Amino acid sequence: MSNFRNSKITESAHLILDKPLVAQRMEVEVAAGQRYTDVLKRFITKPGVAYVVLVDGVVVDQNETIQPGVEIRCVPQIIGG
Amino acid sequence: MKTNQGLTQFEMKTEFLTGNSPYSGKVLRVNLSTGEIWVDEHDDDFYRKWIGGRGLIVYYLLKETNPKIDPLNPDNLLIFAPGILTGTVLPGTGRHAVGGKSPLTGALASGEAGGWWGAECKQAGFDAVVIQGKAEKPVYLWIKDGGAELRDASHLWGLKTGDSQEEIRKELDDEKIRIAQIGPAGENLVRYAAVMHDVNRAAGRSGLGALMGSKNLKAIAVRGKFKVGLANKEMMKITQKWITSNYKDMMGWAIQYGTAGSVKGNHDSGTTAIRNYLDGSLEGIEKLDATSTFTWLIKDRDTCNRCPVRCKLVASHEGEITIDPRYGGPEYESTAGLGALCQINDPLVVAKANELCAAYGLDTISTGGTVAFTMECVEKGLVDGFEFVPKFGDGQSLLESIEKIVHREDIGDWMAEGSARMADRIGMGSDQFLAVARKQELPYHDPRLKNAIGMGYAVSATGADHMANLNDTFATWDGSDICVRLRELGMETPLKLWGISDHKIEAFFYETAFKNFLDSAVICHFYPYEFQHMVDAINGAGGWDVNMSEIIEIGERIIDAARMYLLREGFTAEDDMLSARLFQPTQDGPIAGRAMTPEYLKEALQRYYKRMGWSEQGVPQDEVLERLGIEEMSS
Repeated sequence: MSNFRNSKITESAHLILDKPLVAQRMEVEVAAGQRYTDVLKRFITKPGVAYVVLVDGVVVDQNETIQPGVEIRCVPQIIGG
Repeated sequence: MKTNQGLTQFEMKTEFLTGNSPYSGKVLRVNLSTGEIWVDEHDDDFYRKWIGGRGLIVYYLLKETNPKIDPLNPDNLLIFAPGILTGTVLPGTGRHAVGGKSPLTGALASGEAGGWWGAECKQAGFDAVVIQGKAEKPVYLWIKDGGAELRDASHLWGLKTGDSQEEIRKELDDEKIRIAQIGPAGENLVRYAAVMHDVNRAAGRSGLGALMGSKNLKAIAVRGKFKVGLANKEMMKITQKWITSNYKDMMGWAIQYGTAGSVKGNHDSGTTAIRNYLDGSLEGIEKLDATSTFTWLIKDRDTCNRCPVRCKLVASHEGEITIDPRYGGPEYESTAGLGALCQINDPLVVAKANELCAAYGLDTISTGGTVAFTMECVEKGLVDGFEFVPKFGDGQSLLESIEKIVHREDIGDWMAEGSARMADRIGMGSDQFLAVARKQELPYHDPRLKNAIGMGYAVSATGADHMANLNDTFATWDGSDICVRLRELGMETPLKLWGISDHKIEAFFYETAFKNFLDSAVICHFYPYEFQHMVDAINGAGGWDVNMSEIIEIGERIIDAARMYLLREGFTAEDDMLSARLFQPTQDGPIAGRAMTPEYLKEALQRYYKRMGWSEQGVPQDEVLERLGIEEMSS
């Protein structure tokens, strides 16, 4: 569990994005209460990329609402091979 | 039957010779029992209706094979079918399909392979090659510049694919000959043997290599001088220019690492099955990812005809375990099946297993699935009486398993039949460990995460097939090519991840129609083409006036024709189902506790049947077949 989730901040969540979804690894605080997909669209702008959202290591639907205090990661997806 | 008699020549039509047609109109026919070689001639209407590839395969199987024949009976057809776009200037068209009745599933086998063989076949003057009968001794088919000849292959039988390719090229004195062939696995009728092309591109699924082996056909060598033309070059340029301008941005993942760059990501998202679907994670998975192996194991890249992406990996290594670069390198599916599924995280072992599969001509997906199933049976004490048994996490036992499967030695003789038939022999509830659909081992897109893919595995005429399918995790992100295509049709996106909603069934209908069109045209699924791009490309090739609705109808026709074939071979709606393990959730990991129930899947299938215009028994209704122009094939 990250230190962040042990902190007293409860109205936001911690978003971690890695390459290749973004040019450089980034960690930001995002407000809870929004849909994951709406927040992620602001950061991931590469065309043709799909990914799965993990919240505290568990897959969630991107249409769900961000809960306070969670850690959000995104995993890029490919098909076939 | 006489061999080495010289080429039987066929005259090419003027439009093809002058570069104004993407097809010659000639399908090469070979009867291996009699040695006869002839051609079927088809007109423009045929190509617009069936396109080539999978469409042509289904057409011939329905039209010419007797119902319910044994797949290894000489009367089964083995069909090599490039598509209308194969060999044209459009990027992503370096592919072709191979098909027949599957020795593994008893249903449709239709596998697509990349490389150079398909384009070379069309450049040699033939839109497809349809093989029937059985040669009395091993032969290979030599096709060159509008001619064909059967040649003795006794000296090639038993050779690994790389060695066989070198021998054929030496014998015919041409290093640029392209070869489709089987290895010892196909010769020994392993039910999931592959047909290999250029040594390292597999039409891997459903045992087409065993079908080829049953005909005593070692290889088909092709070389051609004709140019695959276009009826309307300006129209084709629209799609050609779009992809040339966009592929670097949109296919960056493939350019950088190929599919093997997704090994860790797919593991982390619950896509990859671990330890025969028992576990939620595998320690050390990052070692198998291309981001790790590129530094020391992956030494080069390779590509297919008309493809600037170069996503094929070439592994090479010297040491205690050597890796022969002729056989390429492990892609995602191979890494998942031969690695994670068997609880193996040693990239060198996985690369070696991949090499052995290519050299012997084995499907890596079913090989991994069968070995992992056997490992679980061993772990649970259900297997004894053999000198050798494979164990989870033991790389050497994976490599030894492959040797034993190929040569049908010891437990390998059971494993060569595939996991479902093996479970029948073992009994004792071992069928609970199976991960199959229509007796075919699943690709590594876990239906416990991707429910629509699971429905696709269950209902597909080709058994568990991840390609002509709807990938849930793509359909749930608005930036994906799938969502772009769905929006082209006016659909709302993105889709919800879990479950199989009516919305998802609608998306499944359109995506599977599109993918069946791609597998007929035949185009690489990695390219992010949209419907309109295909409209322009197909009209550019054929000089037609096809619209988006007709593209969908072509795909739908092929799905329905394949369904009619499936039903004709004795399958029913009861067979549209996944095996038991796939309804059992993992206890930990990213998709812990998640799985459909069989009842939920059955209910979703009923909604899919209704969308397709099929009865509750999964039978296409007369009005649907009439609309698609295939009513005469239903009898």
